[in-house]
Amino acid sequence: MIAHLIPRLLQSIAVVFVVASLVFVGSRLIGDPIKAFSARNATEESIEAARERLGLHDPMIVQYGNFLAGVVQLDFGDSIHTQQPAWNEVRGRLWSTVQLSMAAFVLILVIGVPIGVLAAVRRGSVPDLLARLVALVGQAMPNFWLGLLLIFIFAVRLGWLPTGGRGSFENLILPAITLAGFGAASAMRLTRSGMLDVLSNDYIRTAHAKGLAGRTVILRHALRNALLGLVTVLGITLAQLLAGSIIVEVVFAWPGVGRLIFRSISLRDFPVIQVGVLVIAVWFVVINILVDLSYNVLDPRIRVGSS
Amino acid sequence: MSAGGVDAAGAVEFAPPRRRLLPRRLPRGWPLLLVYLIVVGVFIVAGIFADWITLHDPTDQNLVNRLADPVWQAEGSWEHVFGTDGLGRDTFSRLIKGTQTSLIVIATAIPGSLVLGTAIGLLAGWRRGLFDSLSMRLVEVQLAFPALLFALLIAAMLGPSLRNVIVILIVFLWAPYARLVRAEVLSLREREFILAARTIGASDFRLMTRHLLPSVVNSIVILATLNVSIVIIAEASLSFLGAGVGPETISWGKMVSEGRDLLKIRFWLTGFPGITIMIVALVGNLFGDWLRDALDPQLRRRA
Repeated sequence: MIAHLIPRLLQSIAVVFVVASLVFVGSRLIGDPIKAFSARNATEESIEAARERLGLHDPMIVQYGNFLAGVVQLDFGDSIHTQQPAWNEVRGRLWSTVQLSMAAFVLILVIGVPIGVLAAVRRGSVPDLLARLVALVGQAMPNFWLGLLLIFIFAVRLGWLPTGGRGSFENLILPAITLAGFGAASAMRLTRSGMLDVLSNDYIRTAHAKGLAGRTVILRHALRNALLGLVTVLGITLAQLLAGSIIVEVVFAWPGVGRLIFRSISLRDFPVIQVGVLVIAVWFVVINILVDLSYNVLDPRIRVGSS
Repeated sequence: MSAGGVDAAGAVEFAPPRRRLLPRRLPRGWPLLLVYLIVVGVFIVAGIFADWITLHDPTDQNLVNRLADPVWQAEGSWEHVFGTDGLGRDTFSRLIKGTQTSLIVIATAIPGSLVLGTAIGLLAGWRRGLFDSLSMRLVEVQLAFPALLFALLIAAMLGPSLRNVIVILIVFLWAPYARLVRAEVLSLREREFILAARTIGASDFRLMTRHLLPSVVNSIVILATLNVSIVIIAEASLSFLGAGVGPETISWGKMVSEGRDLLKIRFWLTGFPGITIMIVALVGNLFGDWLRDALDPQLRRRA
């Protein structure tokens, strides 16, 4: 297990390094942050002083070296916009994004997977057809539009839920559903086709034949095998949620990392952009490793490193 | 054994069998297929002939007639079938013009990523070696990272414009083609018809383009069809965030974003473009599913 993990970790560090470098190059190409910020009547001297203070005069390679040294120490410089350390800006909003992603992920698990199982078991029934229809529509619906639709129905028309912001549980409901929409639809379709594949196996017939209860066959024998294929997909879904939350956070004015990155890009606040993108990259890498590991745990047949 | 080298019995598989251009019978599920084809037809015709279909200039502002009601409302008229937006621009004309934008993006980004990904996949699968491992690492990195985030970053770097959206989409969509084609080439390269073609001295280029490519074409076409909805939604999302098409281009995603502030009083300003995006994406997915079932019986899922 450990022997399998070490190359994966090294590879992941390399990936994060590549992303960090891309982000560095990218954020320097966006445009001159000083120009975007200084008042129209700012003097040449004060602009120069600001450049000096932010180290924008140093050669690119020196800036890059400073940047990498900073990454290791979680020091990314101050936000150009708020003058606060960029890491603090992101850290302060990280929890609300994680909260939103987790709420959406739970929805995907408790809605997508069980409905997929039900649709597979009752193949061709009315619930199956309905579930497939909803999943098809869910996969074709852009999440910003789903969000606006939900706002219109539940906030504007019915007045049951707030249109945006964060605070109470009610604020979380619509953004979480919006973020979960596409993932739940995919999870449902994949669970269904995975279950159908498994259900056609001989050992399922054997399990039925030896008189096991239908519920035991479905849950113990079929679902466990179908879940194997699902873990990877659910892992990717979980990783995508954090990035997908950019749009949802913008639609619902949810004060998270996604909205911060979105705002920082238009403000050219590159220290904040760098931290935000790196945080999401690290999140991706961690999820990918966890998916790998869970695969080994769940499926004894491919347990790597034990041989 | 003939002295010529090629045994008649062994040469059954020189090339994949030819397919008929038109099937003898109507395909399975043809009524639904007809619906898909009609939607696709309307989409393409509206996109190509947008400038002739629109009754009004989609950029024409008319502040006197802003927020006009659509035709089915008491105040509505056929003059502006779907009403006008906050600047008095005709919603119907903007939708049609937006169709053109979507069509341009689909007609460039999908062939672009398809050709790039297929070429890389063919080379990687056939030549193996360093090129293979390098390109496959790149594919892994690309598939593992949040496309939208990077698209947003790139769009912010290069500035919003239709051309940049297309470039971004190509950069993000080539990887699945490369992986798919490589996997198929790896299983094909040991087959007899490839061996036979090599034996009679076919060059690498000829092998790849005349023997391997035709065998993977079905899978590529299916993937491309299923990519239509991804491209539509990605372009709309970027444009919604203001990182998509430039200010001079009309796009469905941008229309949704423009209608956002008027959500309370004029829901249809976001509703029309939203539903349009959904219908096109839905039909793209359904048609892709149908195509997969029709072209690739082995892959047929009971879905």
